[in-house]
Amino acid sequence: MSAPALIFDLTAILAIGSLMLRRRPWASLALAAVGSLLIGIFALRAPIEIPHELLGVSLEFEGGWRILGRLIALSDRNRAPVAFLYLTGALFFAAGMFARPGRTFAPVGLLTLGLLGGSLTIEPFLYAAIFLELAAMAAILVLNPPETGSDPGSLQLLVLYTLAMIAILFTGWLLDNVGITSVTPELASKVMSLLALGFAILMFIPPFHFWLGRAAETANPYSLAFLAVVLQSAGLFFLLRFLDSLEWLRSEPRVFGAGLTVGLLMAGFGSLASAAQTNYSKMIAYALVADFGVTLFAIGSSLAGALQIVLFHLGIRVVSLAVWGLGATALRRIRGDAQLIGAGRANPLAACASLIGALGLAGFPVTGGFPIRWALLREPTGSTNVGATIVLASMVLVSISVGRWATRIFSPAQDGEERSVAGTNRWIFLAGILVCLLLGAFPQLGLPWVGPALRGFANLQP
Amino acid sequence: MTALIVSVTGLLLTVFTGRVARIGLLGIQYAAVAWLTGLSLPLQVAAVKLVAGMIACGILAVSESKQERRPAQLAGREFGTIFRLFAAGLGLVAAFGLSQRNWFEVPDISQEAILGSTVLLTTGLLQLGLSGSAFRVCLGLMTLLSGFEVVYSLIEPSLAVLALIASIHIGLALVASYLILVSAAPVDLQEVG
Repeated sequence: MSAPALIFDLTAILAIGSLMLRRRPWASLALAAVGSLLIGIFALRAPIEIPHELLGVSLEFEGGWRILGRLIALSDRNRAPVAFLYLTGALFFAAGMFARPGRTFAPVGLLTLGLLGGSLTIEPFLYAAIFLELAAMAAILVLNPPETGSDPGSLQLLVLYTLAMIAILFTGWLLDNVGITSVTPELASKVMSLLALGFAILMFIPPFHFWLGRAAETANPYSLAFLAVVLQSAGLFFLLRFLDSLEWLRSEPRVFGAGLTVGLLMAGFGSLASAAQTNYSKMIAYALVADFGVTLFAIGSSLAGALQIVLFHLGIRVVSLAVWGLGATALRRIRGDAQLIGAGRANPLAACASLIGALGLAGFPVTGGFPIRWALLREPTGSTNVGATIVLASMVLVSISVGRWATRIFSPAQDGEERSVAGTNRWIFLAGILVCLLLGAFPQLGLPWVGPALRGFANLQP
Repeated sequence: MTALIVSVTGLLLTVFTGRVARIGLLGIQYAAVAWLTGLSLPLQVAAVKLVAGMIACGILAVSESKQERRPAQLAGREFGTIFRLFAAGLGLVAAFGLSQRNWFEVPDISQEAILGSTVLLTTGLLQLGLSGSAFRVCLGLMTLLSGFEVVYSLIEPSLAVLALIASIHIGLALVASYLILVSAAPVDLQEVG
């Protein structure tokens, strides 16, 4: 039995099942959550190419699956990233039972996970760009559920991903057929320019981040948080796979130098833009850009253990975003506008969950986003410490923005209307807050996934 | 000749506002793209693109026929016919100029394929830039992708890639139809009626 075939067939069956249950959102999301969790565990733990027995039946999972002459392979190189995506999905689907993000969320979310999983397992890995494009199409359905209005940001996402796909596929041809190496500098520059365009889009690097801010204006915050985190994570895994596979690219100092510079620019720009927003979701969208910047900065730095801390931070970001989205959706239900003035008085737990999730994205101490920043601040890159200063300034700025929103959310409602929400979902908000704080206080809790993930990028480790 | 057909359909797709007419033009464009691809691939393989294109057009036509007529809503970024004509004309001139040499640097590619591909890429980008409506954006993406495919099929004639890119065309049509049917997409003033 082929493990990738099993994963993708199960994903399809679950997507169809949750689509059939769409009129019962709770059941649909529960099915998607349990299914994603099982697939995630299977991807991480299944014995590949090793005969074993299950309930007396002899089984052996093959790592490869051939379709139309191309191989989809699950191996140590990609099983942790695939598991990461499905486990992220499981968390978002489970918490979605309380956030109620829309009827299409579970089936199309599963479809998106399947496509992103395909992007991580296809060989040659350059074809991942096509799967990412298909995932961007599925994202449109998640961001535009039938029951809500239009979201122009999702169309912009589709346009950008199409351009990225074209750039990366063309790069693939150049790499395969023209023989690019570090000794062909002119061609290498061309390839790097095309790659830079493709990855700038996949990593939401400004100016290709604009769809995120636009989508934040109208889309459900929970759906947007899910898509932003899975799309960006898949893009990051794709980038790491590129670096891990191509020796000439890895040994090119400009590549890591660019990561360092672009990461700092993103952190600076994202935090400044975040401080300027008058819409809560948009503020978080830009805080997310700053957070992505910190990740890129860490990759670009030559610190020992940078990859470990980046992979750890990916997992932390998922939790922070899920908790933020859960709280933000509840707050939006209390006050429909983007200002959310007084919403925290009606549902203080939802407000606290949302704000603590946001502080996690800001990198505030004792939240999950802090360890990566602390690692970067402790060992500044370069002699001028510019990087450390920008990372610190970005942390402070986004934290102040979150604080400013906290005062708005907890201030008395201007229209005097303060609807209190009975204790619904109280426990889920409390659990979210607790997890965020626990991961900040005891970062080692997030480490178990890092070990298997590191095995996939052996060439990137010192 | 095929490159000329592609130029005309590209120009008209940029200028026309009627959805039905544009779906028809898209069908003709797909036929021309299949022909251009057939210059480098066996014709029966190139026909896959035609079939995928026709399925995409069929999906768009069905959703168009089911769409309720409703009051027009500005897409927020629409341009007049004369401006679109002028922009498309300029774009075509630039595409003809650019395609005088093999700017893709792909070996063994015919002049007609270079011209056709460049025109499709240019008009596709123009369509994306000139409107914010979902229908136009998806048509622009299909045109852009067709231009890319003409060249990419030559350098990567794999069946799997052919099938995946065909699925993108169909997916784009489904996305456009979905947005039209849930009325999520803003509609051009001229597109209605």
